[in-house]
Amino acid sequence: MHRYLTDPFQEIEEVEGGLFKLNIGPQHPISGQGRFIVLTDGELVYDIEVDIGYSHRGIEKILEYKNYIQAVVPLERMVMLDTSNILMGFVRAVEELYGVEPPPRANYIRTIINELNRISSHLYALGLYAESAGWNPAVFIWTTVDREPILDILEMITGARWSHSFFIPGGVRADLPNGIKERILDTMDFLERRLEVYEDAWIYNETFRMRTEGVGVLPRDKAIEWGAAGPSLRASGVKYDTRLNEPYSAYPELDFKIVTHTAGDAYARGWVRFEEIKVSIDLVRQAIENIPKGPVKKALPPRPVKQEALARAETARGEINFYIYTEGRDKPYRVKISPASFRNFFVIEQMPKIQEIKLADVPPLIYSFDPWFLDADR
Amino acid sequence: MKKKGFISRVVTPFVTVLKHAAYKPVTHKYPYERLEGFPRTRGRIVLKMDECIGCGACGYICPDFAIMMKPVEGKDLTYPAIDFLKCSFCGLCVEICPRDALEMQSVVELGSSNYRDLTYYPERMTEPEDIKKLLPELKYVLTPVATKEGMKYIRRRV
Amino acid sequence: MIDWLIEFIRVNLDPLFKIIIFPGITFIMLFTIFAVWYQRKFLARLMLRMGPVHAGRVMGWLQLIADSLKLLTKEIIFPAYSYKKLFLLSAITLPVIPAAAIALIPFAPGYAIFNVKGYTGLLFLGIMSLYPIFIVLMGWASNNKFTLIGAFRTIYLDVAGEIPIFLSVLGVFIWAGTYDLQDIVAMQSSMWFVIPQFLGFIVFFISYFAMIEKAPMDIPEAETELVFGYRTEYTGALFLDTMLGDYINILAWSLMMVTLYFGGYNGPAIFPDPLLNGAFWILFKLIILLAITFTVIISYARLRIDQAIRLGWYYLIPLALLNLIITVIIKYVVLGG
Repeated sequence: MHRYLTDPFQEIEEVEGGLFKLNIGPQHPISGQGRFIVLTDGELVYDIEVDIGYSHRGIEKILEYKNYIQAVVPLERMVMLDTSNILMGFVRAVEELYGVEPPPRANYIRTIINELNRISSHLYALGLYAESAGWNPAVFIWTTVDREPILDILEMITGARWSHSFFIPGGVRADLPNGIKERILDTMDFLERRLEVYEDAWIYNETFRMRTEGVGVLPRDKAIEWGAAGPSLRASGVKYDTRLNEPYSAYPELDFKIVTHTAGDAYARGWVRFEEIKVSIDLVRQAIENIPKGPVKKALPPRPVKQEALARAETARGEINFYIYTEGRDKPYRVKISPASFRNFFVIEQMPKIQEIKLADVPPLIYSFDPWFLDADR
Repeated sequence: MKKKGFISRVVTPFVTVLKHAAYKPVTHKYPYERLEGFPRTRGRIVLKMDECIGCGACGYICPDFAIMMKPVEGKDLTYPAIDFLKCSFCGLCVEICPRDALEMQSVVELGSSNYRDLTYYPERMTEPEDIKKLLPELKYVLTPVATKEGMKYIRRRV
Repeated sequence: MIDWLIEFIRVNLDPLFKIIIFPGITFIMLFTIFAVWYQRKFLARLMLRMGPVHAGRVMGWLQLIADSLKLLTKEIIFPAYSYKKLFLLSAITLPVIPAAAIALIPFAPGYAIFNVKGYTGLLFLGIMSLYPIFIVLMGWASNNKFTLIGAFRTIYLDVAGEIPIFLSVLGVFIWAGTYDLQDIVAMQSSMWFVIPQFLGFIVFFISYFAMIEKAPMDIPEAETELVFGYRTEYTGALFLDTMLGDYINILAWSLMMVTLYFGGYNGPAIFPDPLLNGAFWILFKLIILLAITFTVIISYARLRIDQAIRLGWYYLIPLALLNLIITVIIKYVVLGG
């Protein structure tokens, strides 16, 4: 499987044909928690290999020892940014196993928390993307600062900034506190003003476009064939979003459009993420205005009604799939998670085969797909 | 995708960045100032010994196996002892307790230079943490408010 | 012996003062420390945070002194198989080059360290063109493929940036009719040269970023790809040397920009003494120019090397040549020499 890893390992090594392989490794300012091995001759890149596994924690095995309410706590630490969207997949699968439908108020609360997490994850990913294109970290710090009001709202509702542990099979753990509606509406107004500032300073900035336009063009048929996920798929012109194709929570009752773009290059992927923030702000406003009254939890029956269940949810990086197989006890027998970033890494590896990439383009190319090693490693 | 002219693509970023010099900074000087938590913020767990009946439900539900029931001198029940090195502050034990004997404080500055100090035995868990002992130089406490113009922090002397 | 020393100081008081105190070694070192502090505080305000606060109780002014002392006490590591003498000597010589160029700039009427009439403008450009050579030597002496790539990128960037800057400075020389910096500043007492030489100023401003190697053209030091460029292997006091070289380079080019386009030491007389007045005004303009430089550093992404060369050769050189043609036409045809 490892094409270029040799023993003893060297940082830069000559391969035949005048090429050498470069190790953008775990100790590098832009690599994240994984390794990229790049076969290059100094200017052009002929092959990229991704080496993951540095942050494998064995979450699928851990879940075999926890019952379905305890399982929420380790599972959401799988990806730190986007926790509640990942939990949605698991909670939907368990509810299908037990044959339970959550009450409508719980669905709306789940949607609000999901969309807030999606906004916060997109802001962070866009900041990292700008930094990989060579910005001194002004934009990154602004997006990190702008996540603070969102995290404060999440702390007011759930008690923690990102490790909410708030969704349980059957509903949510507690109701919304008083005074949250004005706070959410104020924060959404604040975010819209900041998005205008970002448009002026960054999205339409000439140097940013020069750096990312035309880099890593992913054609539409190849995007479907190789299995790209999330905004990377939608930026190549494919109209696919789990929130519309197989709606869950409160999405059937809310009214929104998904954002696509036809160019398929790195700039388009960043632009699609930016526009999705606006769609999420609109969704949060609709959900908080139309939230119905009622209970927020429903008890699970003592035994599951089905043996296996498959469910999916749309995280900020793409679609995540959960498969649970149970033998009738209160702990699952096997949980299989198929995250979105794992598929995006495969697409990154195939990129040098269809077009010419320069060495200086490798960081924007990687970060335009928004790959998160924690997500791929589970 | 909007179409923007040459000036607004090249010169406007510079002007927009320069406008940020007029905003107030959003960082604060810890440990002289501290953000206080909200009512639901999860932090250190405090035990009310008179309410506890020693049922062990908190130990059953804890996902990190951090709670053990230990005997206390002078009483004939066992009470929970929490190992804060394993605790992930999820709050399931607080929610499941049938007598509401556990509650959470919004203090998370639990640090020590010794592993054994962080396993809190039931006697220690009954005393809530005093933020003034943990941070002796603390002067102000901040509450964040998000307005349409930006983040504002309301200061209070401690 | 002591009498000879006192007599020597009394005779040469004026040059010694200029070389040691102002605008000599002490001023350059203190201004560099001030510039790094200023950068950290100003950029922090643009990023909505505070910058150094704790050291020195008020505004963190002792932070830089603490950082410099810390760097001086660290061990100097020579990488294995590097060329030790070249490694050491090129790092030591690097800050000296822009400091020698600052010796030519007039800070007040008739007050420059190297007070000679004639060709000081050309001499400045000649000295400053030695700077990239030492960067390449530093990158090569480290015996590290990454730093070598960074050093080669300096040569590419130099090719893209030096020619437009020399052409725009040539425009100023033609307009003023002289190569001498003191005469150029004296001629700007009525109107600053930025107004008739506006096209040349734009070319100078953009290639100024190529010469000081800061964003949008900080390609040799691309942190996201090459860790720290040519400076990667330097530690301790030698790292302090490279930082000094970087900031004294910025100081030298900024002073040149203020001298050529913004009137140097000219300004309304608020101090009676001409020396104090000139020094005040040139420092005031310098601080505003540094603020603009730091804001530009933070507002734009980094260009790729081929995009920077294309910018230099396709856009800046034709603009500079257009500026020269317009200058010659206006000066010799319209105004009659």
